[in-house]
Order: sequence, then C-alpha cells, then structure tokens
Amino acid sequence: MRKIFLLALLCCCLLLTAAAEAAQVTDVKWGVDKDNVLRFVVDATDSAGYAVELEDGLLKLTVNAKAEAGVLKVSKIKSAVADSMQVVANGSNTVVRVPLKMRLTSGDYKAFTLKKDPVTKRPFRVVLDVTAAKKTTSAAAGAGTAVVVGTRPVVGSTPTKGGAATVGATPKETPKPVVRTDDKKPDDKKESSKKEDSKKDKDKEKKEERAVKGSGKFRTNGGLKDKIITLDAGHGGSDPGAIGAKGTKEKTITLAITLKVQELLKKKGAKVYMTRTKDVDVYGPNASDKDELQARVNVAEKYNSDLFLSLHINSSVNKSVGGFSTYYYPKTNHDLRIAQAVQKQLTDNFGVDDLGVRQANFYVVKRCSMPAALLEMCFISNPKEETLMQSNWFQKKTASMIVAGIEKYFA
Amino acid sequence: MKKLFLVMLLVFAVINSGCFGDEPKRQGQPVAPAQQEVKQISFVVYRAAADGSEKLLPEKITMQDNGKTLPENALTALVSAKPQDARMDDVVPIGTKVLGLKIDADGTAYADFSKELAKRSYGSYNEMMLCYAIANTLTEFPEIQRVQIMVEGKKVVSLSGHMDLEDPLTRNESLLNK
Repeated sequence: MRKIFLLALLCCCLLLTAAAEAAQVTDVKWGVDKDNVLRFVVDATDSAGYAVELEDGLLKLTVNAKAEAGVLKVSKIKSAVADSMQVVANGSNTVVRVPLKMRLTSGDYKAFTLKKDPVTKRPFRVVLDVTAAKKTTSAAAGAGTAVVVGTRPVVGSTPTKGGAATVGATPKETPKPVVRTDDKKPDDKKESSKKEDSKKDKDKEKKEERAVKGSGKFRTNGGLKDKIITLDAGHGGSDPGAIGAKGTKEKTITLAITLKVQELLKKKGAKVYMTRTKDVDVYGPNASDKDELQARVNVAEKYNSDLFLSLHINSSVNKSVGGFSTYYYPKTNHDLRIAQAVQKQLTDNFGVDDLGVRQANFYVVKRCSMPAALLEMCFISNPKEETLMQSNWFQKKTASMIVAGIEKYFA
Repeated sequence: MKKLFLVMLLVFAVINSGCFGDEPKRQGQPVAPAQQEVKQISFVVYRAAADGSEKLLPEKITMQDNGKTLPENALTALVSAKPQDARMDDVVPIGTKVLGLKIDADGTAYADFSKELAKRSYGSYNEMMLCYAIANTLTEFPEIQRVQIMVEGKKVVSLSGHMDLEDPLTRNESLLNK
C-alpha cells in the first residue's frame, strides 16, 4: 500500500513538474541531523521532476535537470548509511549516487520537494531523507537484496497535454480567494516561509503545486454559455505598467476594460474569473515577476478555465506607433484561433492600425494550459491613442469587440 | 622614404625596449608608432525598426580593436551607442550598463546588465524588441546559441512583466527582415 502511495506521489511530482523547462541543478549538499537522519538536498533553478531508486546497495536520486559546471563531484559523507556520494550527469538528468553501507527498505527513506522561496532567496529543492540510521546502527556492509522501490523513468521536460490532463483533477483544498483584498496575506506568507520546518514547507509546496495545474481539459466550441473564462487585467498595484505622457497608467485602463468585458461575458452566460478586480498586485506587492505572473496563470488553472485572456496596453519609444496587436503562444491548436478572432473584431471596428496577430514568448500565455491570448489594446505612448483609451466610449467598444471575438471563437 | 625610415626606427626602438623585459616601461611607451597596425573590427547589432513594424534591423558597427571579444563589443555597442540610422530606434533603457558576459561551452551566453534594463514602464512591444535585440545580436556569433538575460548577476523571469525569460532565449528569425 505504502509503495503504491509512494509511486503515485512520485508520478504526481513528475507530471506536475513536466511543464517546467530546462531547470538547472546548481548545488548538491548533504547533512546529518541530531536524529541521525542523512539528508541530501539538490538545489535547482526551477522545479524539476525526480525519482528515487534503490538497487544493489545503491541509492539513486535522479533529478530531471542538468547540472551546472562544478556540481558534478564525488564527496565524502560522514554517516552510518554511506561514506560517499557521487553527483553524475546522465543525459539531461543529474543523478546523486549513494553507495550504501547498510541495507535499506522502502520505509527507510523519503524524497520530497521544497519550492522556490523568493523571501528567503532559497531555490527549488529536491530533498532526500534517509532515516535508516535513526532506528538501527547495524552496519550490514556490501550489496544485499535491497528492495527496489521506484524504477519509474524520469519524464522529459517537454510539456505534454495528456500529462497535464491527468494531474490534479480532484483538488481537495479549496482554492484561495482570487482577489486579495487585504494586505495581511503576504506577511503571513513571509512568516511561515521563514520557518525551518520542512514538513510545513512540504505541505505548502503541495498546496501550491496542486493549485497551479488545472484539469488540462478545455472546451473550444458550443457557444459562450457556461464557458469558464479567466480575465487578467495587466499589471496593477505596485506595478503601474506603461505610463503615457499625460500620466495615464496602463494598469488603470486594463482594469477598466477588463471589468467591462467581465460584465458583458456574464450577461451572455459565461462564468468569469478575474485575476484582479481592483488596483492590486495579484501575488503581493513587489513580488518577483515569476510569482506575480504565475499567480495570474494559477487563477485560470484553479478554475479549469476554458480560455485565458490577458489585457494590456502597449507602449513604444516611438510615439507615432499605434494600433492593436494580439499575441499568442502556439501550445494548443486553439491559441492562434482565439488571437485571430479577437484581433479581427477589434481591427474591423476601429480606425486604428492593425499590427496583427503575433507569436510571442510571453509568460502568461505560454505557461497556462488552456488556449490563451494577450491583447495589446493600442499604445499609451502614442498621444492620440492615450486620449482615446481614456474615453468611456473606447473602453466600452473595445470590451464589446473582445466579447464578440470570444463569442465567435466558441461558436 | 625618410618618414618610413623614422617609423621603422621607432618600431625597432619599441621592440628593443620590450626585449629587456621592463614591463611597466613598455606599457608607458607611446603607442603612436603602432597606430598604423591597429586592427579594425566590425560586427552587427540589431536595432528595433523605428516604424513599429516589429522588425529588427541590422546595424554594422566598425571600431578599433580594443582587445575585447566581438560579442562583448557588440553587446556594449548595442547598449551604449545610439543607432546611426533614422530607421532604427534605441529600445535599451537609458542608463543601462553591461555588467558582464559569460559564454558557456554549451553555447549559452549569460548577459548581465545593470538594473536599468528591467524597465517597469515598458510595454510588451518594447520589452520584446529589447530582449530580442540582445538575443539576436549575441546569437550572430557562432559560439552563442542562446542567451540568458540577467540583471545584477541574477536570472530574471521578465523585464517589464510580459516576456518569459526563465529559459534562455534563442535567436528569433521571425523578427528579422528576410
């Protein structure tokens, strides 16, 4: 039973991190605590899959990330369990090999991950605890008939749609409120993250990861009614976004238009979730770009959205540049389609330049699992367009054109 | 003829003084005679098209060899020199400095900039053009396959809140005029 649970946990971890790309192992450390538990910690630049294998007196921790130069090494260990560890490269994986001095069983070790913590500046970590020496110190040397616990191959780093679809389909925790209305939360977070208790960290990590991945399923037709749509008003709170010559802030205009889109979509029977409904940061004030952008993606994932739209205002050093553009990342067969549908509605009905539908390596449209587009609704750096976007007329018409585009997409 | 003789004499003098291994003295020697031999180097940097067409235009820069590598010079020129062509915009935020450039054997370049690079008020257009001006300028050199943009020694995920810079950027051919 325990084995199955461990395997399932492993699979979960592997699949959840499958979408993360090109994490790098930056360090491998070991230590023995007061209870004689031997701990290995693999630091990585980003979340990475891992697997633990036990065979022929060798404990192997494989992390699905390449090691940076200098990480690969052989180190001596002072423990009743082992005398040395080797960090070796295996293709694009990093393997920590621990030749064992004693016989281990599946209950003698456990592995888990700790997420990146911007507050304490700690990286993503894969932790392997060997508790064998905690109970007994009988050193049965040599290779025994050790129990093989997990021989699952480490999955590749390419995100797969099928993989995502099987993950986190039944989240037990109720999702966090979408919009933060108080300032307490970031502080709470800071305090709890300072705690050294690895178990708490682990629990938090699981909650965080489960929240990140939705069902991976989305609907692309059958009309607007009952469709789940997440809207993201670009920037907000401590991040004003681009600022026009007259002082207009991008975050203000994006929110005004997004609220209008929300209202119209609701009227048409869609279920709408918002990353923010007021002038706030989604993750927290002055958070890292990753946390702030990922927090927006998380809202779409939490509610298993069928569609994710991020609304922005553009800006250029050249003040004469203007117009609409819509960006997408070609991760599903529908990203281009939604971008085209919205862009067409906007440019057909406004007398501003059509800068076209473009592919872009933008975080929010790339990292969410459902079809998505990032709209750039004119240039705040263009004085004419800055005036235009301040008008209620423009905001209302833009909102209704976006909704018309969404409606055509779901037709 | 007389001039040439004088120059040769000077060159000889310089070489001669060097032979005695008095290093500080050698460095102190006037470099004037060697000026004829100063090598010119040239490279291409990519600039955003001024018409907002989401294109990067190549600008050829020729300068005296200063002993730095071509990628270093190209990156510094992109950041510090203004484009000399009216069809090009300078999308690098004012005050940005190159703090370092490290190229790994696997072809990843780590380009480190001062904090000015992460300009919060940039729109997605500017952010994108800035990132790929850097990536395309550096990937012009065969030893560089991908570029990790860093700010003050740290990997950044975004500069202005749109781009995903978590993984190193590869060359973006679609922004180049064919």
